[in-house]
Amino acid sequence: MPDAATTQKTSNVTLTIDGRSLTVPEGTMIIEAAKSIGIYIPHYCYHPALSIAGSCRLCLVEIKGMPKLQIACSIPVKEGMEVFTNTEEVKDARIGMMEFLLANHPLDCPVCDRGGECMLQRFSVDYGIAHTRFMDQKRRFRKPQFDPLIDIERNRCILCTRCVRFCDEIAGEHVMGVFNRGEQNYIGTYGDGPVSNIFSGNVIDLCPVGTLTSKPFRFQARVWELHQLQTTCPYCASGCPVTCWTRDGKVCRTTPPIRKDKGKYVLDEDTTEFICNQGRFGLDIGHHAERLRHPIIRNNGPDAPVTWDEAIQAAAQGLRRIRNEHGPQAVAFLASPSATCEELYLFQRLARSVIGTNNIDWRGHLASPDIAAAFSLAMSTANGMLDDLSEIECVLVLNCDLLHEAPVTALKLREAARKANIELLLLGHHIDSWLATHAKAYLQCLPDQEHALIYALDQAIAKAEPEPTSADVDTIRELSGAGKETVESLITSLRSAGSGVIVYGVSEIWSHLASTVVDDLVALRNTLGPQWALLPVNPERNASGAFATGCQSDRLPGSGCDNQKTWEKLESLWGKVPLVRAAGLSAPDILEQASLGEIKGLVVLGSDALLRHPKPERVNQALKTLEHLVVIDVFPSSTTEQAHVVLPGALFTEKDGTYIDAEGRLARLCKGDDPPEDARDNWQILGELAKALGTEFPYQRLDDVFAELMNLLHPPCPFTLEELAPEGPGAECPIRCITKPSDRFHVLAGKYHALASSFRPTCHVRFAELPTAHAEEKIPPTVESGPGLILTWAPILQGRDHWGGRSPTMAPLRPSPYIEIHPSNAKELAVQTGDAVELRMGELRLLLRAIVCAGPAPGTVHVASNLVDLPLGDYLTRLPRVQLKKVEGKQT
Amino acid sequence: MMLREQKAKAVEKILKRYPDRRSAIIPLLWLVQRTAGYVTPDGITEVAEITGVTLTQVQEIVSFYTMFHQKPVGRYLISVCDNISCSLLGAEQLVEHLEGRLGIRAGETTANGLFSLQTVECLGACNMAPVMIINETLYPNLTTEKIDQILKNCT
Ligand code: SF4
Ligand code: SF4
Ligand code: FES
Ligand code: FES
Repeated sequence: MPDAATTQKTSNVTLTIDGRSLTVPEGTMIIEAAKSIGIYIPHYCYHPALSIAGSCRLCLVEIKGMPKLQIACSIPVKEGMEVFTNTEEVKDARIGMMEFLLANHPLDCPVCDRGGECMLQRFSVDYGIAHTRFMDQKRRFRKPQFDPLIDIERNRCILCTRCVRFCDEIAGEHVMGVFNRGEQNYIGTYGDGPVSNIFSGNVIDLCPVGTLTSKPFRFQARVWELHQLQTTCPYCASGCPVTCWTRDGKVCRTTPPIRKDKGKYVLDEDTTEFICNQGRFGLDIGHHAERLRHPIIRNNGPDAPVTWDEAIQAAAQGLRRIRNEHGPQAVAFLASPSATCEELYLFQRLARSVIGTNNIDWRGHLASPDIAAAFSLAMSTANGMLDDLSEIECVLVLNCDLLHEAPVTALKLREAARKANIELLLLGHHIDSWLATHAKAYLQCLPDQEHALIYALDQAIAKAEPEPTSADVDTIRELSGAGKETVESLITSLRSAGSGVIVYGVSEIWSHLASTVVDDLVALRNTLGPQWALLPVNPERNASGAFATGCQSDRLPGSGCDNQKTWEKLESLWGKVPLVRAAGLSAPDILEQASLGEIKGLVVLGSDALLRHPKPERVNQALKTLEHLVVIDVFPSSTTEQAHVVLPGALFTEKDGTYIDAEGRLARLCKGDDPPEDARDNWQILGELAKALGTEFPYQRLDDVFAELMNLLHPPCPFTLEELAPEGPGAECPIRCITKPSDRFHVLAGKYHALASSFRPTCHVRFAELPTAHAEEKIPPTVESGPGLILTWAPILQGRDHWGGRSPTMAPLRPSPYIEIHPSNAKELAVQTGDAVELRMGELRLLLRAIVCAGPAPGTVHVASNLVDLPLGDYLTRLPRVQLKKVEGKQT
Repeated sequence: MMLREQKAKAVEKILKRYPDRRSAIIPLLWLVQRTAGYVTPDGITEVAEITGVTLTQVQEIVSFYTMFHQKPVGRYLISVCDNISCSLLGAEQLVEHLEGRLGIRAGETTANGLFSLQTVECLGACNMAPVMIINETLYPNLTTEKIDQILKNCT
């Protein structure tokens, strides 16, 4: 970290505001200093996350010794300064400013959606005058179509430029701007096009007036009529806290978390907790027409709805029969990484203690046991957190399109890098081009060279010399094609950082490379030292929860290094039944054994992971061969279609529970609605199933499940589920507890605290006591030889394979199928961003939109696999080459 | 593609003048306007590409300066100052006179594409008020007669 910044932060200044003395760090603006002692200075253009504009002039204050009033948002505090925020002169000035701002304002509050949470309304109450001296015609603008989800009403705009600065500085592209000048100034985008970034929805909250409002929420309700459900976003492992504003249980809009103001919950217009568009617009699927609403038993005839009792009995009967006839190992369990911790915990208890098998997993999307093993290694060595970025000096991101996998995590990293709080380094065959603009250095390589590059870095760093040797630098240059300075600066940054985190995207590590790459990363982390941590990012919301709750064949709930003790503890917890300790199958093995007829019964809790499997035929084949398939789910899918019994469950707004995000934070999901018609809460379904199978779970309430689970973690969480709820003592900060699935559980009483200092590598467990059933086969990494570009892929959050893909609101924001091309290759092909290109792979032809960016390494191209139909399943052991051709005259 | 192809040398020369490419936005737009008669959408796209900024950023600049035309203008662009000094000396009547002679309102272009008329802010020539500029030539101390004479010479 730069020394200047550190010293600057430490020197303090003492001043008085309205007669109260306070001490704040030098460089603090008066407006922030006042806020720190609870004095609110009215403002529009100022926002703590944005640069200072100083344009609205509502924040005028009096400073002793200064001849004129000054704007509090851009005057830094000085030693001995005396500030007055509420004198007659100040009030007078504010009244004057309000008169200016309202001169051209249409005063159309009755038809304005901002009504009730508008800063113009708020300050009009304090500083408005009842008449206007402005006699001329008010200026009027035409209303364009603008963005598909953001409405614009320019006549209401006060030109604070918050929206412009947000897009430019935080979302990273100057798409919104101020056009014309003087009285004719207006806000917009070029050609009135959409605000094209995945954080665009935040301008709705940032706009202090009613200019930018939500189209899906337009004229739906007055905000004060709505109920606020404080919960957590179910879509990705960033794990953002959100507030759903509901009416009769229906989600009308979603915003960042609200804050309490004078006993009332309000949306904080100065919030710095931005959320992405998926979380903001995609949570409205609870009342979707396609929801599963009734239990179904399928006996080769038409699906007649049945009663719950019949369905549960049918489900249990089939499982019991298979267990009795073929033994418990003929039954398997596949869970969704989007289920809550409590559901997952009950699910594995059902498998382990009721049926008696360890065939349980959440990784239905993985194609081979080899990659499953890599996942296990990745998860059990995870100990990184990005929570307090001020404590971290360096972040290395490997192969992760973080912007499209965990957008808000990407946003936080980019902000920290932009403000030079961290050094950001990128590495791999596919880097996040959005982060690249603020990266100190990045190295790219071909996908089959990755482990070699990581190994070379490791070697270069391991040497004791202060400077990397030229031989090491040359090896790295050869692998990455990067210049000498880049390589040297990357190595220097890694070596000199006092603390750091290696972030890597597990969805971009293919089976044949997976174990090697993760192995190499663990080695690199160990070389870098105990102040470095690893953070694998799974795109799924609760992958960490699935791991922590033992919903994985080689993992027990909460187990650290000592599985023997955990087995005994579980046996005593679960009614003294001896547990089967035979090895369980991981998801890829379960599917294989199912197609071979060895696994005869399968229970699926949420089929979304299976839907992402790269070889859908293989999944279908496996499911078809089953004698008995029970599926608990919320939407119909190819999996529920094959099921013998379908049990309709609850979606995220219809249940309580917890999720654990990529960084290990525990967050509370809150219930705000009932499941539709006959659908039920999943944890109750699991309880009924257990009961029908002859074991009654002892839990009265979900709280009991949570408490039992938390007691298995070390150290146990001191809060109950209830206490984590909005008004509870555990609710002071939006995400309350911090847990590492493997070995730590931090509870932060009310406030985030420095975790970086406690960084230490987790015990390097390879879950030894539970052997993987499948012999690990390591296929050497290969790439198809021949001409053409190497194709790489990963799913994106906005793809169509998740619940979010069901949201009709999100439809216009879903990107059209695209292909990322490196500028050097684009030049050869004479392709520009927006051109249509034809991809050829064997017989296959696909029309894609070209995006020219630094993301893919030269010589490779990258597609979002859940936007296109590509037979990627054939390419699990060798990466394909593709031919690209520009399609003339077509713009996509 | 027209600017970089047709005016490659001029573009090169402009870019060389500035250490930061963004500084070249205004001169490049000026080049576009001189080449095409006004700032065309294609020109905006090209300037954005050359200087590495967004279309919005270029449009902000184009729309801020009245001397950038966002629509085609006539061969003779008549800009009459209507600020205080010129107004006191009859600028309004001059505008009316021009409107009558040309058969258009201020802000419009004649059907034959010969004349465009607009009013502008102070031209910094108050000592010669009332004034107007046709394309890049300033005409001082105007009267209706003088205007008629000047128009006669525009063909
Ligand atoms: S649209 Fe809203 S946020 Fe943007 S400048 Fe206008 S008032 Fe400010
Ligand atoms: S970043 Fe992830 S958790 Fe946050 S709002 Fe977006 S989808 Fe939800
Ligand atoms: S908040 Fe200070 S000028 Fe707008
Ligand atoms: S007012 Fe016309 S030139 Fe100054």
